[in-house]
Amino acid sequence: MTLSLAIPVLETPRLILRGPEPEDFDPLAAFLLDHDRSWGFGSEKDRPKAWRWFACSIGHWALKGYGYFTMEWKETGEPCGITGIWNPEGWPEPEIGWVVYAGFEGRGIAFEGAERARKWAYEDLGFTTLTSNIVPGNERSVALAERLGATFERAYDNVEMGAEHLYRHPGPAELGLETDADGSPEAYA
Amino acid sequence: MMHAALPMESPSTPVAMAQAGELSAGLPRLQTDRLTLRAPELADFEAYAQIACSSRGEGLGGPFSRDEAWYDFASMVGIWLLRGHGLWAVEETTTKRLLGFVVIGFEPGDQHHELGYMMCEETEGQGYATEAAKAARSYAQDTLKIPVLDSYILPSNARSIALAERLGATHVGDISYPEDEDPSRIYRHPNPAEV
Repeated sequence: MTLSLAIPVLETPRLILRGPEPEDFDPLAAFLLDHDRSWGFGSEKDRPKAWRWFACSIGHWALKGYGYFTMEWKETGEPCGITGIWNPEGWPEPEIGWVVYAGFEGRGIAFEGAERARKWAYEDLGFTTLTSNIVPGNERSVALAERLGATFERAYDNVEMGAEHLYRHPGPAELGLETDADGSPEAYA
Repeated sequence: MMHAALPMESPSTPVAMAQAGELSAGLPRLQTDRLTLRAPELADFEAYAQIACSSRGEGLGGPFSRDEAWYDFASMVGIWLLRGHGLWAVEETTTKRLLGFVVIGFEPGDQHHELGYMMCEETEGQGYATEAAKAARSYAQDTLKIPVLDSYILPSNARSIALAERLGATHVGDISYPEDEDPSRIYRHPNPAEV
């Protein structure tokens, strides 16, 4: 039996955003175990812990219907990072997250991927607002959040990460996106 | 300690929840005389947290904080898609009451596939865990053809040991997990293919 989830495939000029596959684990683990690169995202101390995070990220899709996409660099088909909507237990609200793997920095991949994931969350899932949680001092991430139009809203304590700054993204109307009114949570409230 | 349910446990947008519902369609659904083993859903987390965040969670490597319990729960759901086995929610067929969970797992540190059971406290003493564990074990052995199936149990967990023995499993050795103070006992389940 093959189990799969119908995770959508999204496209940007240079990227494919698709559901996580087992072979994505190696590059993801390389990132999670590299503290210098992953401290702002949440490092894992060993490969078993990284595996657990990977399995959890797939379970997140299954339980919530959204999660982290693997970003594939179209030109070569290589996984070049992850982006998507993350909202595990204890999170203040759903957030857009992004990670770019070693060797793929400086190309604007995080911006391109995160902007597409945000559009999907607003247009297709019916989210009405989104945030990004950033560890103070992660200036690269702050710069990207601001480039995406997000603004600092408040400081809070994250259950996993400790002190974090919550940035609020512009809503779908501010971004001029078409949303299906029937898809919004309010329409069902 | 009990905690109030948090906002993220409530359903997401209708589109997202429809997408989440797809897992239910793909996962094996098992029936026994009294029980249905079905795909776990977000709403089942509350019951899992009550087990994993209490002293009953010691056998899982806990007691866990609520966010740790969620990682554990989600990863056992996620391995269905990575490995083709994972966590079932166990409900009473006639009432749809959630009784607990069984899992065919393979976690870091395990030497073989593991049969695990986590039942809600108030459902004990009625043979539900035995019935659910037998159904999961049969599926693992007959359908998935998993050759060696163990249950890893802390020596202090007399209830779980009694259940393993009732299931015909035997104590074949011990295993140490880095996060646990004491080694766990390995209870190996009989494999009908070898009988």
